[in-house]
Amino acid sequence: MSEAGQGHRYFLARHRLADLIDVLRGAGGRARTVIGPTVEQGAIVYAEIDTAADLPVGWRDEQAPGHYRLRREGDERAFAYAVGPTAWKRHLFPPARVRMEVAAEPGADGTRFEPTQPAASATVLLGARGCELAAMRVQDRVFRGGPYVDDHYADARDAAFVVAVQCTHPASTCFCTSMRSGPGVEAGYDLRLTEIADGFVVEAGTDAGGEVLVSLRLDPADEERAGEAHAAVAACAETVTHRNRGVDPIRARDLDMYPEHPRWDEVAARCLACTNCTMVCPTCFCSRDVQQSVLARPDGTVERQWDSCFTAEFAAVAGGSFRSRIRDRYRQWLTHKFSTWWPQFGTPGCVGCGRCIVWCPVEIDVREEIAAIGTSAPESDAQDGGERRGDVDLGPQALTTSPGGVPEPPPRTGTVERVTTETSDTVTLRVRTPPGLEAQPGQFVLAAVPRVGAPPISVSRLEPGTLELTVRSVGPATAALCRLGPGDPLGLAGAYGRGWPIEAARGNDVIVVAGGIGLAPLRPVIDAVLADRDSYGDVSVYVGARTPDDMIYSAEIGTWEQRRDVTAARIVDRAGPDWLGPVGVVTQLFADTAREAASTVAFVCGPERMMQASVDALVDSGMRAESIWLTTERHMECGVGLCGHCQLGPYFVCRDGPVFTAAELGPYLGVEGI
Amino acid sequence: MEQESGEVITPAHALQAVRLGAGLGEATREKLARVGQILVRGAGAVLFREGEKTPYLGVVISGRVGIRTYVAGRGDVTLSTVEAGDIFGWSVLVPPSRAHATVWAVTDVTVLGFPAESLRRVLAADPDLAAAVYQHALSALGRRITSTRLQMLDLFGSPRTTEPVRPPGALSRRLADVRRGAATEEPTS
Amino acid sequence: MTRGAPTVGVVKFASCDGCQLSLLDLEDHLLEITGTFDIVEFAEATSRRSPGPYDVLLVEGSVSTEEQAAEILELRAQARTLVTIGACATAGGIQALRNWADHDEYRRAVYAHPEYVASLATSTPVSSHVRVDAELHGCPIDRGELLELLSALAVGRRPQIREDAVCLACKRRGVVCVTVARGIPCLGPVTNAGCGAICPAMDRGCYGCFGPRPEANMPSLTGSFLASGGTRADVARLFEGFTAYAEPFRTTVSDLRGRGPEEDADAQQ
Repeated sequence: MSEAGQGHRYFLARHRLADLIDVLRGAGGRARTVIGPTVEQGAIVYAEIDTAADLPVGWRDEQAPGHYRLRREGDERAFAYAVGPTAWKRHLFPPARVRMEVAAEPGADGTRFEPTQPAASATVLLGARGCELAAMRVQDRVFRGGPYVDDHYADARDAAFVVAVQCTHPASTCFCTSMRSGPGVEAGYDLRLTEIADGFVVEAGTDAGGEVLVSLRLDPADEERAGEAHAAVAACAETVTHRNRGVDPIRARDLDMYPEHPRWDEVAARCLACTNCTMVCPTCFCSRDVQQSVLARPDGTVERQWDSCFTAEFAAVAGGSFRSRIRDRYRQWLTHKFSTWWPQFGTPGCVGCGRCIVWCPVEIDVREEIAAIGTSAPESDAQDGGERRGDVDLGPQALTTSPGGVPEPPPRTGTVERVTTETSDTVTLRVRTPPGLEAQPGQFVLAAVPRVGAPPISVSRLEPGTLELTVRSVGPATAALCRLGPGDPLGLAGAYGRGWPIEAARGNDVIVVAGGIGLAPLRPVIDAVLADRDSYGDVSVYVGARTPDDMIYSAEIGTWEQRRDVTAARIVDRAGPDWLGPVGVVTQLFADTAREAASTVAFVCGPERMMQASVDALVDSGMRAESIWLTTERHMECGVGLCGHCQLGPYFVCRDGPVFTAAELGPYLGVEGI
Repeated sequence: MEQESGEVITPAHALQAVRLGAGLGEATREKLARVGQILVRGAGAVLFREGEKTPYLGVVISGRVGIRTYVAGRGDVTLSTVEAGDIFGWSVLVPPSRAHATVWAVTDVTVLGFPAESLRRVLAADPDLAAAVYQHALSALGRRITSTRLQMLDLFGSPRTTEPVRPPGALSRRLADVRRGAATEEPTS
Repeated sequence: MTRGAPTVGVVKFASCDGCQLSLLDLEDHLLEITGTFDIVEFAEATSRRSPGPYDVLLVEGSVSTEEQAAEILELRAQARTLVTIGACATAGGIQALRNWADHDEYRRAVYAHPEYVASLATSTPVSSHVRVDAELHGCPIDRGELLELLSALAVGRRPQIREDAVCLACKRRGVVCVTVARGIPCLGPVTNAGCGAICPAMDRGCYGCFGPRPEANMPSLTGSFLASGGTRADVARLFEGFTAYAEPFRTTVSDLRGRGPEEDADAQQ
């Protein structure tokens, strides 16, 4: 054999499959674990493979919505099946892994947050199909394509030797040809196998793959065998394209334009919100961070576990869930897969493997749902008339970690210097900034208390060496933060997110509208503008609160009210006779003043409904939605765009926000269930 | 009647400066102004009380007027305030013309008042004026309802618990009590 | 036991003791538990007795007699945090099946001297009688969840006990869906996780012992069981287990059987 280079086809006789597995297990002097298909629990799952006998030789699968059965064909084929319930993400992004070890021991250095270091062992992924390699490329973009990467995923991915198998036996639920992900395999493999009558046509995609072929001393595949392999894959493609129901990914891209389509209610009546579709999906990537500790032990861990947008708590914040109904969650899942994934990652989130269809206990078929919504959408329901174009491109090349991508950082330990009680349930912590932590106005940190939680908290003041966090006690973790005293340590991860465009507002009139604790993230804006007062035009600050006693920074608002170069006013929802200020809603303070569209910038923060009213009033008074900046709240776990919780339409609030313009948020602000 | 500047305010001047008057033609405005009276009240004064016949339709010229009600156990609760330029006492326009809340001067106020009887007479005689006044009152009420709705939402109130069936939130709050109880003498910061 | 440690009581009503024994099953942690909490009442483990007050009271069992109905009111008054443990306390237990049946007939069939058995016609969950701060589901409860509850209490975090479906646990564990791959009816999609997906991992369908999830979509699941050939009685039987009396299982059973439990019959009179 001359050269086992890429592009050459070799023949592996069926009886030599065992040799291939032996070589894979020990190839290149490295001991590798081979994960591959095997029959277990009535299905073909991926598990550790010791010998060729572990493979599903002679088995066939029968798949339909809500239905999966194996039957013994009795022939010698080892890969004559379509993908089963396991996805490779189980090995690259495991269902649970310890992300961090934490400690809350006494003493100056007692508070610790130590990320676990990735240590993936060399693994062979044997039997990966075209759609599965496409799914890996999709997850590559999620986990290693951004500024923060999941280093465990990246490590496991780099340590994986991929033996792809081209599909020849599709299931009725496969629609890979719609999503351009299969049945052939074009990239992303070390070795590529195509099963034929008496064995396999094998090709190397990498040098490492070539080495395996060299050590097997294979003969080149003859024309006939190469032709048989090619024809088998082509026939498979033909079946998937012409016999199976498909999806038009370009049309499906518009799914999110029909949020009120009645079909969402129909599918929600069937959907169990059981999470099966998301668990079997090879691209679903959402996770939750679970605090773990035993009794009063000072040490604990943070475990990252698979989560699903179908769970009750997925989009919940202290005030309730943004997606309280099953309808909201199904819509979120489907529109994310087919619509909003595009602006996030440049591809759809679906690879057409059909697992979500097969493993849905009540037989919901995404292909049917997409067809029903995408083809019968009432015109008036469209939220955005803009033409969207683009080709499906699942990216033939595997993504390596993006330049500048860094592992998700652990919290750094800061020390509380001072605690100010703001209201009966709110305190401001002044914290000595740990080295390396930089924050901009409008950004947030994850404020971590070991063993308890790490809620996102906006920075409410920035000074050299210190920052302030104003925390309202709305749950156990924020309550724990509120109980901290001077000298106490706490963890700070971040600062994260897009902040307020204070620099860009120079030369303009500035309006600040705050409601309740929403004044906290706005205070750094006011600080910055007042510190450089001459660079701005008129400056107005309007603050609303529930009662006079619930108003944070009350004394400070008083100093703004005293200034001649600032218009400041506050209003409360209700008051006793001692309150001599206005009573009503915050918009009453500014609605009657006409604004100059070209030279006014507004910064707004408060409950979503209040921000909506404020945006309406500001637009009515002449402002442009592009000049009104808001900061919004969503459930966050990771803060860096990896956990999936904070999605709002196409945005990750943690990464793309939390500060947005009213124009950006327009379609989503206050819309139920988004 | 004098302002700080020493200038005498007349009902006609006052009316011209507020939204109600600005929307009227000059002749109509003068007709309305003729039944108006300028009232000056010190901070804390009650203009009229809940349950009384509403004595007049008022326009705040300067200062702040409060609308309050009495709740047993909570005392007087101010529900909203009326700022300069806006109206109060709208109930004078519709039978039975009884005040639904107490109106008081939060600060020193100057008010342009249109006494009930003469207002009704002048509106009955001039349908165009009546239409303009009613429209103005309706738009003011509309804004007030919108605000009231937002206030009713209690947007800044305490978040409700997110787990109604298995309320770990409640549990942990109770735990916080347990812990506070356990660390009795520890000063809380 | 640490001075000033939170006091814990463990009490039981109509039940088998299995759930409170889960506390003793936490063998490796028993010393730590007694070092963190002051267990002042736990008949299975200590002769100490306390009428309260308790910082934490773990309540096992359903309310099945007049005395129990009175006692739970007193205990509630003594407990700062009251946690019900197990299917009996949280859902009425297997004995709540009598709520659909003729109580006297059952009594006569089971006992030689039914006149000595002074039980109520219904077995009801503790939450039907008093406010409950938290619930641990299951028959029996999961030791890990119990330890998590105690650990969360100890450090002040939200207990990491979620309202996930059993399906989520199956998938994390790598258990193949028994309904899809073998046609076995399984209540996993409508049942609280927490058990670790024990039954599907043993090739059985979940029988719902952790009780219905708050958002259980019953019409869809029962519709799917009926469509795959089950009779109404077959499907009703699936839900007639340890948590049948918990809504929405209760309504589902009543609808499928065409008759409601005792309590409803009383209400109609």
